[in-house]
Amino acid sequence: MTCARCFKRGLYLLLVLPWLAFAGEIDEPELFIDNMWVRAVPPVSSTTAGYFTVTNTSEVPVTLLGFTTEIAGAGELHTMAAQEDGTRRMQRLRNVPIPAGETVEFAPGGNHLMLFRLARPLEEGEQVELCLEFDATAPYCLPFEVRR
Amino acid sequence: MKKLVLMAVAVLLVLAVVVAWETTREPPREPLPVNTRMGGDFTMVDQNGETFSSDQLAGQVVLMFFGFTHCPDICPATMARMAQLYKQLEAGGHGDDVQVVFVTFDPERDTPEHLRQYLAWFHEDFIGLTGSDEQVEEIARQYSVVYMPVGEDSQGGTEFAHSDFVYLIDRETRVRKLYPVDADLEEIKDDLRTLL
Repeated sequence: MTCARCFKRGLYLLLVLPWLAFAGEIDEPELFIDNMWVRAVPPVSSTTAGYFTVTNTSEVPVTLLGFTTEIAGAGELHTMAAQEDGTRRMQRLRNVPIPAGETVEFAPGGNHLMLFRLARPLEEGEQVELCLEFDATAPYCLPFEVRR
Repeated sequence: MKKLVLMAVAVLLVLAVVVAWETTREPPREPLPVNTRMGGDFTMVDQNGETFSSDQLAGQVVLMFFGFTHCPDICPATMARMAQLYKQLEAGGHGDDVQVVFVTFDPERDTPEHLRQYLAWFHEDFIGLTGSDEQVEEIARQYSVVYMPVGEDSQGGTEFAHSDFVYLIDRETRVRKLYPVDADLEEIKDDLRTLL
């Protein structure tokens, strides 16, 4: 083997190896998550809500199944739905589909993460970690800023 | 002759100024209509455990909101907005003329002490009202507030489906306007100015 061939093979391996190493994850959809925050509530409150925006940049649908966090005893997916009588009613969601190529917003007055039995009062400005669990990816553990 | 011309020019100038002033000034606002189907006298219990009568609000412009403190989304968001507005009013010297009132429809969990701690976090001047089930039902009826406990399969306990307006009440305790919870604070401030 000439040095030139040796060099070519090395170059080929350099190009291919990252792809091989990534092969196990290549089917995992790409999600872009931003604007993560949790509502600051009075210390006497044991319940609050979390919000974020998720964009599924892949070509396969993804489903949000729930979330976990150490700062709350339990967490659920909820939405606020307008009723025919003019009231708004909070409803639990078992999951939230994130269609391929689409953005789903979790925002005040709509979809939100419910945090029950807060472990401690949350300070405005601090970052707390929430792990969002999807059906087709590893959990996304991200910092959520505590805001009023 | 020269005098006559000068006088005519002076008159024309005065007229021009008057016309310009009349056309550029903002037209006076129509007074907000009185909602005669809502409101009335009530007796509740405040955040200090004292009997609270609607008479105690007379003389102040009131922003009233009905909710419950275990509500994680709409209620704290609305109270935070009321606090933001109230601080702006205080800075403008109108803090004493305006009163923010939070009325719970969850008296079982929202005791006076719980309300006191909850509201003080938003602003120490805010008043919280609770009472017996009958008192809460009566004030909700007076203000056409709809609320009902819902049996969700949730770990959060009792939740409420509820209407969520902020009520603007004048110095004679008459309802003048209802706002959605995401109403523009500038709109509320403009309306308040007509009542202060």
